[in-house]
Amino acid sequence: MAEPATRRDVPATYGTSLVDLLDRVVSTGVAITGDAVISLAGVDLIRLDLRLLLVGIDTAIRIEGPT
Amino acid sequence: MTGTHRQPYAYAFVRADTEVADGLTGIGPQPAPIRLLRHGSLGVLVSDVDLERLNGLLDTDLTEDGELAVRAREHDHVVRAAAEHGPVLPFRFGTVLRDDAAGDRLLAEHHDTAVALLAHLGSRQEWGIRLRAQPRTDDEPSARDRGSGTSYLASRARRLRDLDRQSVQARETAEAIRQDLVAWAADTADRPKRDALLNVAVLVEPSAEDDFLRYVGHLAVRAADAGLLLDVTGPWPPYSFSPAELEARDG
Repeated sequence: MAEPATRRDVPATYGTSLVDLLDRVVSTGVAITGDAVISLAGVDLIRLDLRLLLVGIDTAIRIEGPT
Repeated sequence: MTGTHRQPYAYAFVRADTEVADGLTGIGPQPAPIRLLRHGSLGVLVSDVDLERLNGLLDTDLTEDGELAVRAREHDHVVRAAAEHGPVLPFRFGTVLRDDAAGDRLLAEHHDTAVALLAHLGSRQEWGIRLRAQPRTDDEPSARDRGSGTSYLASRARRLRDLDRQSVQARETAEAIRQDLVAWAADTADRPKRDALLNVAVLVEPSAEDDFLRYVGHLAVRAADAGLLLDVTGPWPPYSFSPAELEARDG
């Protein structure tokens, strides 16, 4: 990924936290329902947990931005 | 659920002619190669997983090295790798199909919808824009500054009025920025706000990335003037632009 042209000049923060990742991968995307699909055990519960957790969690844990 | 059985874990709808990179493997402690199931002009990327090995994600702690984080990154990696070769419509984490035949029915049932969505998304990528209140530094007046009880109460009332005005201004700025983003981009999606004042996903053509980031720079300056911090994440596969639910019946 190219260095955003504006990074030096603006009071914005860039980067991707673990929470950002989980929030997209686990909470969005096409959800297939119906009996052609087996859910991973516990995944729905994870979703529930994440909802609760993401309310309070800060983004202190930073990981490398996507390349 | 049987222990030794391996089932196709689904990552994303793609076009049937999408190239799968050699050596690309999927999710899990013993990752299997990525396969492309096809039906008409639609494909779905899968890899075989052992459900038993993927269980227990609930017990994982949410750290960088926790199992959930590792698996989520593996999922994301496959979607991103596919996105380099064409449009993707990512599935939610944890989508496991009964078998390849179920995958074929899924493809057949949603063929036209998914093909149209893939064409609509094209090569655009998702960026996340979030606005939060900047951490406050001028909280309660210190004991030293309080003076008499009356002047303390007066300054406290003043402070509460200021906070009120600032929060109204912050909300108005957040809404104005949202409207500007919507006007700038052809496609935006609201994401759960949680503790933020604004959380929006924007679809951006890679060739327009510099323009977009420059524009976001202007918005960040405006946000800062209103005491808000703007943060940007991306680029992402279009997770926030995939339909929330599709049904697939067995047989």
